[in-house]
Amino acid sequence: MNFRKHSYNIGFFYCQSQMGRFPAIVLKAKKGYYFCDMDKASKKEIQEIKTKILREKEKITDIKQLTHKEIDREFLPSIWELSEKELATFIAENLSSLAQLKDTRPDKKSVTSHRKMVGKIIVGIKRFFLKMGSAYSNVLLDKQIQFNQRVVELCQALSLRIGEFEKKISLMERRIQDCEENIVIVKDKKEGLRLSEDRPEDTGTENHQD
Amino acid sequence: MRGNSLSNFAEEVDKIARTSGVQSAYNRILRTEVSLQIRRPALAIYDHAFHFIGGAQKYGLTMTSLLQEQFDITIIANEEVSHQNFYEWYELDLSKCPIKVIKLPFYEQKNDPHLDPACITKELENPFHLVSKESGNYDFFINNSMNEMVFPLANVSVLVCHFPERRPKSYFYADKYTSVVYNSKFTAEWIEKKWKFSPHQHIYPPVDMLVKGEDLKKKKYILSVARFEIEGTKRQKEMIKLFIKLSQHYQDIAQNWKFLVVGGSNPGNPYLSELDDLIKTNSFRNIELKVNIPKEELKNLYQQSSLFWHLCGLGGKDPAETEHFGMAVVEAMQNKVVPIVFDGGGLREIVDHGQNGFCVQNSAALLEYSLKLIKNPDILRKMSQKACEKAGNFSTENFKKNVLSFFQQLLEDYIIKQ
Repeated sequence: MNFRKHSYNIGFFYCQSQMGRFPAIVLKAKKGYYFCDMDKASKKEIQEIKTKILREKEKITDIKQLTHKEIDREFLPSIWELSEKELATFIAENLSSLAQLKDTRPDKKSVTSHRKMVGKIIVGIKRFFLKMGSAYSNVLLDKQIQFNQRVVELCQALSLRIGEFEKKISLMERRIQDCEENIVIVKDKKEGLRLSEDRPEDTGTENHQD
Repeated sequence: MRGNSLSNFAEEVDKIARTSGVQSAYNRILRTEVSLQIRRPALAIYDHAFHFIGGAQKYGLTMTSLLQEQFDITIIANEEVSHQNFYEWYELDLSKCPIKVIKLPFYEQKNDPHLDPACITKELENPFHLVSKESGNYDFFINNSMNEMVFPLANVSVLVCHFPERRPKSYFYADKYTSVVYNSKFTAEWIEKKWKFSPHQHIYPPVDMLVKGEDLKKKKYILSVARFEIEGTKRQKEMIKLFIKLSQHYQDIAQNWKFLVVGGSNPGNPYLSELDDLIKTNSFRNIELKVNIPKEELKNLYQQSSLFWHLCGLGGKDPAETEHFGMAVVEAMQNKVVPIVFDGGGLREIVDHGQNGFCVQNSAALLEYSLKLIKNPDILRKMSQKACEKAGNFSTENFKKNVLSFFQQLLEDYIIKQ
């Protein structure tokens, strides 16, 4: 154990901390107390408490159970904060799920039962009523499905169009960039000519190719 | 009396276990042990990419090497890696810190060494909970990876954030750490925007290419040092095209200047082949690609170069594509190489426009300032001196000072006072 070179007073104390009082030999220094030894029995007892708790801890694999609290939360993304790249992913993901959700007719397979014995009968009856009712509900839902289909197609078309625009913009940006680079070179060459006219004896550091 | 006090303690631990969970009870015991100096504080540092060479990993391991005196440190990795690797990659002797490898079955099945946390959705079980559970065995836990899916169970936990790559989704625990350390103001800004809280401690990365008192013999080299990313986010292609343009229009540059494009790459990188083709097609002999070169050679190139180009972030569609800090730029500046960099990300904190380099918004500006420096050796010389002075702010010495004082404070707060 390393101690700073202070003047120490040695003494036996009880350490009063949040977990109780412990007997300890303490060196009192200017900047506080340094515990140089606890009695071995106390150390052993702490070790035993630790081992017991550790054994309990090892048995638990679930973090929620270990901490006695819910650790997972739901986060709703705000589309206004998304970057260009994130927006592209968001649009692609949502277009795909929209296409899957366009048919709003109830699925026969969605009727299930957790009961072992009577479950099959209950499911059979429910599915029968569902089939009977669907003759009426389909009249309403067919129009809704048509509408959904149109909305999905419209979104897809808009997305394609935006993609085309992006390509065109990117091409134009490239051209503008090229022009800007050329302007810099032309300006520099003009400045070079001006300087060489002002100082005809100056040969300059560069040779112009064009 | 002793029996009484210890039975009180045992009762208290049991009570904590019942009310706040077994982990809290265990944490109380750990804290007591350290407070009573029964043992040294134990610290674990984790990075899911420790088996790869990288700037972020260098940051975490340099931190580890500095904390060895105060803590018993365990390095936690998800794939096999050795002390020898750390020495070869970062010149750090961490032989006193045992390495614990926790394999993650989810990624083992995929048989991909790149453990990408982004592929974990809420429908899947969190594979990183194996690491979360391990974190509860130490007094201090440092998560050095850009992986906010590890739930910290230690008494004191520190998340080192090099950039918040993902928005809070399933398994988001970044705000559960005692402290969040950030590498640049740019990173802090994006933590606030994406994660909605303010990080706690700013520590710039350590950069140790500083030249002391050497009169460097500069050559007419323009240098670029960056990884050859497959997506081309470091913009080497754009820079090569610009140098070709300069060489086409200026005979002096074509004959006397060289553009050296240096970086690391995995084998079979298509982007690298594209760059190679671009150079060959234009048959320019004054452009050289240097891939995976040894550190000594890189040091020599830094010492010989005059200008440094870095356009990472140009035309980017996401802040993650911008340089979060820019260690290579600092390395160059420490060697008196004048930087011309993209005006964005962490680069703005390194380069003071017009003082010790230039920050550019577009390729035309890069050409303009390059020509200015090429034609004015006096300005170049003055700027190179100032660049070196500024880069001194990011030295390993400063990093050490900041890390030690930060952890000293955490340790003082951790120890239970009488």
